[in-house]
Amino acid sequence: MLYLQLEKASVDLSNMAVIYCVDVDSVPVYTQYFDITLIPSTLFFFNAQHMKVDWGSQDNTKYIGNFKKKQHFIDVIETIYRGAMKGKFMVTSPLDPRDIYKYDLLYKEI
Amino acid sequence: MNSSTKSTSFIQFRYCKLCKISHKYKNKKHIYSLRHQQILINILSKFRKKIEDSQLILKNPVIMKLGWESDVTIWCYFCEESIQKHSTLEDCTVVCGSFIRHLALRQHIEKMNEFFWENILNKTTKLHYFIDEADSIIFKNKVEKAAQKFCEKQKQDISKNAEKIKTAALNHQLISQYHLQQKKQHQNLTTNQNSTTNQNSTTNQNPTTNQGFTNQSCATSHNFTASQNLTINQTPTFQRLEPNRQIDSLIEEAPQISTARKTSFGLTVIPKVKGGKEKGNIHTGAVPPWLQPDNTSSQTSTIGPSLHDYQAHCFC
Repeated sequence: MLYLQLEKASVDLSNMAVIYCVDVDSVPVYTQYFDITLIPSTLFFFNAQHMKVDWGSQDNTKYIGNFKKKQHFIDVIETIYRGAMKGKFMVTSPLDPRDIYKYDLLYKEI
Repeated sequence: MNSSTKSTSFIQFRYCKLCKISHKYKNKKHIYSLRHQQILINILSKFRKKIEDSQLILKNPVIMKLGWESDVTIWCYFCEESIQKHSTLEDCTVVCGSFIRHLALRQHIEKMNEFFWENILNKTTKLHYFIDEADSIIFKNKVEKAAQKFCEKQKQDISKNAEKIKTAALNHQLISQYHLQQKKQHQNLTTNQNSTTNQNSTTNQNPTTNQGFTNQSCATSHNFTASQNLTINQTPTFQRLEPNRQIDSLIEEAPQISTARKTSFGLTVIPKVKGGKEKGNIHTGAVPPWLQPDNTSSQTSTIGPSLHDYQAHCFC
């Protein structure tokens, strides 16, 4: 359960990040903009700037699926925070590719 | 001093990792206990089943996609460590490859012998818990061949899919061309209707210009028959566009990339949000919703007091 992991991690990350759970159906504009097709999906922002992460998967705009450990999520947030403080918009994932959820997405130009 | 240190080498108790209890090391009573024997039977049967499954693959190696069950491990009761079940090659996964390799290791066989010795098990059953090194070498050779076949098949599948996508894209292009041409024709018809009304009025006023008009109309008649009714000052707008240019313009008008197909295990797939195609999304680099101007709230509501109220407040 992702929300339980995020809830547990929120205390440890209180100096770096604020975590919000959003219902997909209540924000169709954002669902369309971020092209959310699989849930749970985790998006990262820094000062109203969307942060991208190179997970080694098809989608680098968001993290799809659950984190295996709470520590994995904390590591990701820390990496994003450090990258964003240096002015980066995209960072490389600190996680082992084996710990990242496997999925297949086919993008199409319409 | 020496005598005292020597005496400490005596071990009175020992921890049994299977039963998770400490027992007297000196006698073998614990090993023959019902609990220990039951656990032994259970773990050996469980482990034997896994080995039998892998032995089936030993004859016919199975190759899967890269990343397939990448994090599956098997606990080896003899070596007391977890082993990766599948091994990975450059672009594919060998089913049970890592486990088979482990079963053929000399260390595993040594540990197995030790385990059998400690637990006083029937030595004839040893054969079921390891794989011959020769068999593992044969398996390795078979895997190489199977991996090559798998890669070739995958390439073929990819090329087939690419062809399918190409044909679909071509169909899409043709449809878009047809729609664009129809749109252009419709626009031209409407402009011609307007021009004919103007021309009628101009011919009545200036009959000399009519001759010049007819000459030009002959030059452009192959494009569209209705263009004969154009006036002199008007340039013909019906130019046949190249198909590629038309498609390029279409893409420039509404470029958007979105997820067409998604597959996953254990994730919830949500239906695509309808509408808003023209807005673009994160993949196309469109302006995010939170940076777009909000027409409803900012224009209607005024912030702070009006000038009259402010002046009244200052002077009173």
